Amino acid sequence: MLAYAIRRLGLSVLILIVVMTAMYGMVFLVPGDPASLALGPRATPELKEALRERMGLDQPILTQIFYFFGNVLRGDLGIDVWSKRPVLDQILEVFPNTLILGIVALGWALGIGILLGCAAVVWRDSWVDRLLGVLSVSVISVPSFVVAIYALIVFAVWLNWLPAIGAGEKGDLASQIRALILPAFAVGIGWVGYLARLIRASMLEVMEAPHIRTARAFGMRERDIVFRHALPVAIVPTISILAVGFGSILSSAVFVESVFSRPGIGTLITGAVEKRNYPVVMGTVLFMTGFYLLVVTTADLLIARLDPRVRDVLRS
Amino acid sequence: MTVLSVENLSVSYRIPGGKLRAVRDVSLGVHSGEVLGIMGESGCGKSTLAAAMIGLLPAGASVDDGTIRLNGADILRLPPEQQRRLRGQSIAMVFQDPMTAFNPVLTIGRQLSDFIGAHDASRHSRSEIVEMLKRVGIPDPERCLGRYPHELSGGMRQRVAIAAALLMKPDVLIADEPTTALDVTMEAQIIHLLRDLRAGFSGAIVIVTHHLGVIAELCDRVAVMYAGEVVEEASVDALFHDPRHPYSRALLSCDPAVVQPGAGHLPTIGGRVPDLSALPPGCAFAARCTFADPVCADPVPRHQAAGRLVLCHRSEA
Amino acid sequence: MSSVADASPAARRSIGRALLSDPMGLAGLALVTAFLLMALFAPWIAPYDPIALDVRAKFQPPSAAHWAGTDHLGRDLLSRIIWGARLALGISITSVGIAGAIGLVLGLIAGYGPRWLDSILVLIFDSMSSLPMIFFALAVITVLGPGTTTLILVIVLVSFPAYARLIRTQTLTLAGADYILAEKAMGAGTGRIIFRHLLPNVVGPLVILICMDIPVVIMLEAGLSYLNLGVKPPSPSWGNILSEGYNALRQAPYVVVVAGIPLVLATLGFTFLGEGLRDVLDPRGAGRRWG
Repeated sequence: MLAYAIRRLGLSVLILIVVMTAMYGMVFLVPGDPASLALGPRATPELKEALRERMGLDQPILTQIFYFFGNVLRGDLGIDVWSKRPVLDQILEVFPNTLILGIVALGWALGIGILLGCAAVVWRDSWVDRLLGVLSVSVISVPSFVVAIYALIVFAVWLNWLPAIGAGEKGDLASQIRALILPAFAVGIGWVGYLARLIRASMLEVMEAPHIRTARAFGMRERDIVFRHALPVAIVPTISILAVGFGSILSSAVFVESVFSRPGIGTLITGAVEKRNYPVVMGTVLFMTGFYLLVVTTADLLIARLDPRVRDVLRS
Repeated sequence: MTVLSVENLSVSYRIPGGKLRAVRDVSLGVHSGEVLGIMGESGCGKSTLAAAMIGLLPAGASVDDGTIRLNGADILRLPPEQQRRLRGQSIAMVFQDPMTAFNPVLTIGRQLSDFIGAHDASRHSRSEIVEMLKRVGIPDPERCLGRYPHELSGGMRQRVAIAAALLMKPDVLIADEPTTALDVTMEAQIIHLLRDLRAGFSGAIVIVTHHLGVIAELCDRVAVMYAGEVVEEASVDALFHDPRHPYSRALLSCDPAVVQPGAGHLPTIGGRVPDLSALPPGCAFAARCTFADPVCADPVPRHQAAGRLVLCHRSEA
Repeated sequence: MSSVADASPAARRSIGRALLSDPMGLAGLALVTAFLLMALFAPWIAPYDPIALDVRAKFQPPSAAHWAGTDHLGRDLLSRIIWGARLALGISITSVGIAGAIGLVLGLIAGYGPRWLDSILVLIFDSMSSLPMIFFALAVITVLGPGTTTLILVIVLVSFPAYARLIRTQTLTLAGADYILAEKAMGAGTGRIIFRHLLPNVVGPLVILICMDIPVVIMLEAGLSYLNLGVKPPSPSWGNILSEGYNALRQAPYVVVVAGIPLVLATLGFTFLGEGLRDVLDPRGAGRRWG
C-alpha cells in the first residue's frame, strides 16, 4: 500500500514538473517575452528593459527555469507585475471561497444524485425512472454559467431573495451562506443529473451480480439489498469519477464566479488574463494543477483503501 | 412427509421469435430427511427448476402452468412479500459458483450476519455463526469472519455458503451444482462434508448436478431430466443397477468410471439436444434413441410403479 | 468485436431505424439538423446584417420588425443569433475535428508504436488532462491574446489528449488480438495493419466521443466569449450576446433570455443525439468516456 502511495505521488510530481515546464516555456514560443506581454504594446523600451531585469529575463533560459523551480519549491510563485504582491498570497486569499463553492456544489449534487439514482433503480423501468432519465440528460447539457445568469435574474433581481454579488461579509456567516446558495446551485446542477445516471448505471450493473442473487436467496429486503449490499460496491468507481469531476467543478466555478462577481480563483485568473498579467495566470494554473493532482491522488488512495481487492493486488 | 412438491410445473423463457420451454410438466417430491438428486446435462432445465423452487426465476422467465407446494401450501401464487419471507428461512440455496456468490467489499462476517438477520433482525449471534463455520470445516472461524471473500479459496467459500444456508435451519436446502466450479480435490471434500452434515440436518435436500459421482455418493433418490422433462425417477440403487429409460441407460454407459480400459474411446450419445423453442410432439429423445420406433412420435406415456417413474413408449417402470 | 465499419447494409439500416425509434435520439437529431441548417444558410435566412449598427433602434423589445428585439447598438438580435449558430457550430466542429485527427494519429502511434514512445506520449496525455481544461485554456489565451484562432487552438489542445487516450486503449486491446498476430505472421506490413484492421475498429467509439464533446466545446466557446476572452466582438457569438445582455439587464432583460435559448437548445440537441447514437452503436462499450 505504501509503495503504491509513493508511486502515485511520484507520478503526480512528475506530471507537475512537465506542466510547470510547459507553462513557463510557453511564453518563449511566442514573439516577445513576458515583460512585453505584461506591459502591452505601448510600453517604452526602457520600461521593458527594467521589467525584464526585474523578472530575471536577461538570464539564459535554463537558468531562468532553474530559478523558477527553486522558487516554486520555496513557495514563491512569482510577483504580480501590476500590484507587486506575491502571487501566492493573492491565490491563498481567494482560494477558500472557490474551494467552499466547489465542495458545497459537489456535496449537494452527490447527495441528491445518489438519492435519485437509487430511486431510479428501486422503481426501475417505471415512469419515474424514465422521467429521471430524460431530466438528467437535459440538465447535464445546460451550461452552468447560463444557469447562473438565469438563477441570478430570477432569484436576485426579480425576487430579490438572495444576493447577486459577492461572497458575503467577512465574519458574517449568514451572509456568506446566502451568497453561496445561488452559485453552488448553478455549479452543482449539471452534476446532479450526471451523478444520478452514474449511480443508476453502476447500481443496475451491480444488481445483476451473482452476490446480489445470493442476498435475495436469503430473503433480504430489497431496500436493504440496495443500500447495504449494492451501493457499497457501486460507489467505489464513483469516487474515481468524482475526483476527476472535481476539475470540471472548478472550471464551472470560474464562470459562475464571474457571473456573481464572487471573489475567487475564477475572478482572479480572468482578471489577470484580461490584463495579460502572466505571472498571476501562471501561478494560478500551477496552484490549481497541484491541487487537482492532490485530489485525484487522494481519491485513488482512498479507493485502494476501500476496495479490499485493489488493496490486495497492490500489496502483492 | 413430503416437504416440497412440484406439481406439473412448466416454465418458459421469452425469446425473440417465441418461447423457450425450459421446464415441461415436471412433477417431483422430496421428504424430510431425504436427499433428492436432479440430474441432467446442460440445458435440460434443472437449474431453471431449482430457481423456480426458490422463487428466483430470472427476468424473461415465467411459470406457464403447475405449482410448487411447500408443506402443502402453494408458494408460487403467494404475494411477493410472502415469497420473500420463505427464502432463506424455509427454502435455502447454495449456488454453483463460489467465486461470485459473495459481495466483494463486505466481510464474510458482515454478510453472514446480514443473511441470518434478514428475517429476524435480533438474530445475529456471533457464536452461532462461528459454531457453524467450525462444523463445515473452516479452520479458525473467528478470523474468517473478518476476512473478505477474495481471501478465501473456492472450496472455503463454498463451505461458507453451505454454512450460511444451514444457519437458516430451512425446511428445504437446494444445492445447485455445488461442486461443478471446484476442482476434483475440493469436490471430494465438499461431497464428504455434505454427507456428514446430512446426519444433523432434519430437512429435505435437493441436489442439482450433472455429475453421476455426486448422485451416487449423496442421494437417496434421483430424477433424470432431459429437454425440460423428468424422463426417469427412481432410487439411486435402482437407477444405477437397472436404468429403464434409454437416456438414463446411455448416460450411465458413458460414465468414464464404467468404461473398460482398452475400449479405445469414450462413448458419447450421438446427436444434439433438441431446440426447446421448437419441440417435436412426441418423445424429445427419439432422434437420438437407439430404441426409437414410429410410435415415439406420439405423446409419451408416463409409467409409474413401485416408486419408479419412466417417461417412455418402449420401456416400463 | 463489432463495429459500424463492418456492419452489413441490413445491420446499418436497422441501426438507423433504432436511432429513429428512440424519442430522445430523434429529438436530438431534429435539433442538430435545425442548427446545422441555420449555420449553413445563415447568410440567406438572417433578416438583417448581424453587425449593422442602427443606434436609433437600440433596445427595442421583440416586435414584428425584429422578432427577437435589438441590442444596445440597435443590431437585430435574431440575425445575430442565427449567425451565432454558424459561429458556434463552425468553431466547435472544426476544433473537435482537428483534435480528433490529432488524437487518432497520436493514439495509434502510442498504442502500436515503440513502447518508449508510448510512455512519453502517455505522460504528455496525462499531464494535459490533469489540468482542469479552463485553466490551461486561460493560460494559452493570456500568451496568445484572445481571438478566434486562439480559441480553436485552445480547444484542440484541451480536447485531443482524451481522444488520444481512447484510441490508444482501443489500439492496445486490438493489437494483441489473434487475428492481428496472424496477419503479422503472414508478413503484413505496418501500414496495412493500421489502415485495414486497426483504423476501422477504433474509429467508432471516437466518433461517439467527439459527438458528445461538441456540446461541451460549444459551451466552452460561449463561456470564454462571455468573459470577453473568446471570439472578439462584434462577432455574434452567443456568449458575446449573453454578456452584452447581462450588462444591459435593466434596460433590456429580454436579451439574456433570447441569447440563452439557442445555447441551451444546441447543447441539449447534441447531447440527446450523442446519447441516442451511443445507445445504438455502443451500449456498453469503450466509447463511454465516463465508464
